[in-house]
Amino acid sequence: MSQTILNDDSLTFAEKIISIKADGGRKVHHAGEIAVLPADMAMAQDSTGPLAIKVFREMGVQKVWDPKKIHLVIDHSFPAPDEKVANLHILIREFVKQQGVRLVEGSISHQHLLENHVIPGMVLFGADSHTCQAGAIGAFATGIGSSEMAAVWASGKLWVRVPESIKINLTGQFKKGVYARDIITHFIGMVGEDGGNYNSLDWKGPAVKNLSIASRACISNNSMECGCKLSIFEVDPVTQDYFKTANRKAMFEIHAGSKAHYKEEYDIDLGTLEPQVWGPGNESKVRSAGEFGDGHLDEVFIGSSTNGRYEDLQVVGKILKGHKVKAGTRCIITPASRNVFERAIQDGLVETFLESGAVFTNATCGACVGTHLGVLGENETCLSTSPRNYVGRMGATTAKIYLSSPATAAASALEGHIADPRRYL
Amino acid sequence: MSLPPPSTIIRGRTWVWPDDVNTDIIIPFRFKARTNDPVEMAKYAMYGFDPEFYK
Repeated sequence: MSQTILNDDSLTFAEKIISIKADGGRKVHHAGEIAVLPADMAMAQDSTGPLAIKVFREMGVQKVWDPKKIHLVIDHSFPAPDEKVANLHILIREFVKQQGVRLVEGSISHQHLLENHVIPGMVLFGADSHTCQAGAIGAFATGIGSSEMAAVWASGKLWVRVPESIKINLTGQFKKGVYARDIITHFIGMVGEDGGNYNSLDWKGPAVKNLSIASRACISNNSMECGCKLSIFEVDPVTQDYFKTANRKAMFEIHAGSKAHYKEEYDIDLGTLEPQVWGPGNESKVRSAGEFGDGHLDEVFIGSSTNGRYEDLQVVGKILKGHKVKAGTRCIITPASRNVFERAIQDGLVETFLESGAVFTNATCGACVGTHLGVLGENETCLSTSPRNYVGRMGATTAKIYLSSPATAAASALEGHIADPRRYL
Repeated sequence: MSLPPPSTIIRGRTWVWPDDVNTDIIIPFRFKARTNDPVEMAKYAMYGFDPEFYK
């Protein structure tokens, strides 16, 4: 039956993967239907994990369903910036020991799973909204809450409503200074913060083949900011190469049928995109980097699960090399994982960062979630490569957060205001 | 849609917030990251719109 579902020309990616996994592949689940989906992997981090542990214990369940499939990641505040967080980390380590589940400290969960664990065709539930990043390699990956995570730990299952799908057709080639982040920022600006609510965003078209896994991960991760359930790049030769190198095998390679139904379709010609910046607050205000004035930036933050990968740091190094960060602007660079951290040191990138006057930190969510290593004070202004510009996200509720690609952020650090990166490339 | 039976109508004050209420408005991450006690978390409910809301 699974093979029949995989070959069905009328089903979307979401319908196929849910139908294969739920009820042992005996029934086709169409968009809008409810299905109970077995998890292949479950992840919680140090902000959602402690509450999930509390709820799990209140449920009276003694053992988790499968310790090998459960990952706890200490990433939101690592190392602990204060005593309260340190105590929650102790709670997590005790739970890990008691249940025999997996623990990682000091790599951002989404990047850690991408580098080491997720595979195409799997079902991943994560107690973190940006879990949808793993759609970049053709997995069903979505964020859930702490109490839902407790239920997954106990049962290994969770109900889902099969999402409808939106197709985005990518064509053309990037101009200089334009990157994956600019695609997703542009898209969110186009559809709004609720433009993808509970839908699967399916990234298609001839330009996809030129996007690396890191670029796809950036797009899938940041897709959450328009409310998506999934953000999918189907397996192609780029994905296959990635997993060959990583020595991991796909569970399923799932391709949407050619007659699959999409509730909406969009076209984006990469050649028309300029470096994009998303302004602060609750409204979707996306404009080109060149359209902003010379308003002072107190901080530039380069990092996070959206844009803290090696590919991102390479571009930043290229722009910062031989230049100095503007006096009065602090530039904080945070890699997404221990692996990225080590590569940046080995390849001399960190030397370039430090010579420019930037700060290079360990891997953590830190500044992005306002817990440490880059918190904003009253009325400060920041340009960040992190996923969110919510009010109070990085600290004071009066602080303003602009979002951009790492290239635009690096150029802006040099000028002390939002700047177009192209003059440095 | 028909109205619910009168016994289920609750009368009282309501707070009306703008659209697109996000998770950092409901509770900012930097506060949530420091506790797993819902009573403590409640002090920061809707903090992004009104830090005094919990009162």
